[in-house]
Amino acid sequence: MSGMVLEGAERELIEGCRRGERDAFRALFETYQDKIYSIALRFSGDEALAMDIAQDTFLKLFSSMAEFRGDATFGTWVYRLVVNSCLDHKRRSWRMIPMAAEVMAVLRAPGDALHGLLHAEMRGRVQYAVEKLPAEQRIVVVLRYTEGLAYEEIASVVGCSMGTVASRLNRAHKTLERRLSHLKGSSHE
Amino acid sequence: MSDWLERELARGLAPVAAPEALGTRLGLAPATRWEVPRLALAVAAAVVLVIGGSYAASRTEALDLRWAAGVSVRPAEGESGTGARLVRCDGGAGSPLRVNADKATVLLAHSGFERSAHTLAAAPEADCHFCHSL
Repeated sequence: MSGMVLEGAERELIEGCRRGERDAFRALFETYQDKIYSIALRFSGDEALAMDIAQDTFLKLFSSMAEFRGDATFGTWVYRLVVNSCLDHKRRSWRMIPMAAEVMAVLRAPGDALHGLLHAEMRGRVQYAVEKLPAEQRIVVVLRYTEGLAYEEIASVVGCSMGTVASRLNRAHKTLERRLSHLKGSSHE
Repeated sequence: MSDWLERELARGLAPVAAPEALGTRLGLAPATRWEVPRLALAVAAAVVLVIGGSYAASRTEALDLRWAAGVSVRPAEGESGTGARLVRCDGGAGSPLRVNADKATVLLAHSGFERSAHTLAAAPEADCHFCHSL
């Protein structure tokens, strides 16, 4: 692990995993489960597929812990694994009423149901539009808006230059603007 | 890019919490702690107390009987009181004593007999019939 820059707790976790300690695996899982699942869900747009992607990512993470050399931060390395898992999974050609669960949740929630419904509708349309983007643009959009990564971090995770990240984001934005422009006046604060 | 799209992307692609099923799939679901029902624990403690108390009481009673009998116990005439002889067919041994004016035998050992049987025999001689009647 020469040259690796890790915080104490993270270093202990990694060493614990390398020794096969179950508690270390559990702690690592609890640290990254939401990040990994969120990226998988936002990329795939399908809960079942997101579960498969997240499961694959964790299995790769646990089994290849010895391969982590510390060339990048551990977080970046984890992001790379989930991005590779996302790109490896073939996209499902169909979706079961993407909005159903969200709409039902809104209807059950107290408060302004119509307002909530409009927001849910908007979120669903945005997600659907993102899902239609080419994979290399979609993963950049997800890392930017789901994880809030900077261009430099995205470039490190995806393995391309910052210019390429900016270019992909720019193209994605233009496509999304065009596809979602008819909804521009319908979102409520 | 418009602020509107930026805002909607941030909303639409917001992070979510992973379902618990993910941990279950990976065999990393939170461990459930096995708890002993308090009532069962209390009942078990009460049963142990009753059984233990009864046993202790019976032991105390047995000891008291020996001393409460008001008898004078000493080695039989011609005996040192330190030896024992075989008095049972299965290996039990006894020591002849004099209890008040009568002869008696203290059963010192009894193969397979649970209690330490320093039992005073009223009969002049201990024999198998006596032992097996215990």
